Amino acid sequence: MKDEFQQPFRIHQYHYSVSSSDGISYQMFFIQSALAHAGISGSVFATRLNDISSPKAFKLDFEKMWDCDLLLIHHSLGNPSLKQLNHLEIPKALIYHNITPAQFFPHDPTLSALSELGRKQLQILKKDTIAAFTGSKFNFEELKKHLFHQPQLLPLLDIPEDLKEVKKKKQNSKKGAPKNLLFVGCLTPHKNQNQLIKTFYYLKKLLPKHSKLYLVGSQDPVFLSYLNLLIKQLNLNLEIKLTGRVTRKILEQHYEMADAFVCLSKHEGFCIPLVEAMSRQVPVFYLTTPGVKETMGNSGVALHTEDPFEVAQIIYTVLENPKALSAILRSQHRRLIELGREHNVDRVQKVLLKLVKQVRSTPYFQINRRESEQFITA
Amino acid sequence: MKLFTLFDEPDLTRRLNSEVSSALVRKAQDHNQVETTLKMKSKALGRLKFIKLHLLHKEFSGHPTHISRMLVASGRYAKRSLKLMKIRFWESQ
Repeated sequence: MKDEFQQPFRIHQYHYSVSSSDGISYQMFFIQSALAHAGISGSVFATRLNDISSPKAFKLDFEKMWDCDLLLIHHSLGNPSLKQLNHLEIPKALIYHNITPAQFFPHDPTLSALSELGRKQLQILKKDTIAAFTGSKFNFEELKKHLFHQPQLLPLLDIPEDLKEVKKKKQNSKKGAPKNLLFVGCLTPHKNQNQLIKTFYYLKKLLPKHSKLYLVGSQDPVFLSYLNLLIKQLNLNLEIKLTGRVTRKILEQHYEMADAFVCLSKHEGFCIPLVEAMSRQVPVFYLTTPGVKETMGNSGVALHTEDPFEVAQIIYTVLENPKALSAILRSQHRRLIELGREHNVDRVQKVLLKLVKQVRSTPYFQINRRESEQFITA
Repeated sequence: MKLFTLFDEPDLTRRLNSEVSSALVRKAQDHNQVETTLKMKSKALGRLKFIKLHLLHKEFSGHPTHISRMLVASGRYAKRSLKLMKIRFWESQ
């Protein structure tokens, strides 16, 4: 895609850390690929590269970042490199990802401080960016609370509207066959995996022998230590598997063999694994915390209790009822179609192309003068 | 009490909720089994392991002890940290 002088557009992206499996990196690569399809090039930069290397992503290098029309700064927890980044005299836009509140990191002063810093830095970003985007309505409200003018929703992932790509899952309907429960998300206190372990303690007595709970995701060392002790004390070593971070291929295998996805998270901005579970025909059970509720809409099984004893009985009763299972899958399919209208490649291209065209047609000194007003709107 | 919702299926939701509620009443004596088991097993643990579980449990159930900060700092459960944990534990009694 070029402007009237046949100069190709270029949009770079930056986040403090980039890896192959976290939600923010997922959106960065999704945006990069969506823009590439529209003929807009751009690279991904990060201060810290985890299990990823160039040319997929580059280490923060100001020399390499100059040659773009726009820099998308993804922001979550506090970013120690933000000050240096703001010295770059190129138009910048914010893509806000949720900041987990400090109260969820009582055991880790570093993460707790980064959470507070992240919120403070929103004020700096408000002044230094020309537009603000976010992936969910929950985050959108948070940006408005921080007085961002006209933030816009930007898709987090691509859900094809016709859902042709939804994989049909073979339901294990054989009576007495072991059930596999799944949760995907890093092992941290706000994802509440301790409650899932306690729930499985009760479920073990209800479900067929050899049923398992898989907790997939990277691990907070102290919380992991707690979970391991809990598993050992409750004698669930054989039934609960903490897989750590896994490759996309292994993740697909987990979705493939899952009979239920259980999410007892206390805090989420938008939960991509829930969408992945829905699109692979896995029934989802969830606590109705704001970000999770927004992802699920009116679908799946909304839990109104987090008592492990009660949740276990609910999961067992629903999984045993074929009528309930088909009702859940129907509602999830409908939700995916709804989400597909908001989250798709076309929308990313449309929103960012409009922004980059406006940037190109506005002299830089004017962008600077008006940047505190976040002048560019949808 | 409504324990869960299946969307667009009010009758099924009502029927399954009542099924779950009756099962919960029938098994009411099992309700706190997790906590009882943890308590019982903790007695059989070695002193240091018991302290570790007790503190971590407190930390992640809304009563931060700030002990695990040391664990993050030290990177692993070094003997020295356990010693400090032991002291703090007895101080908190």
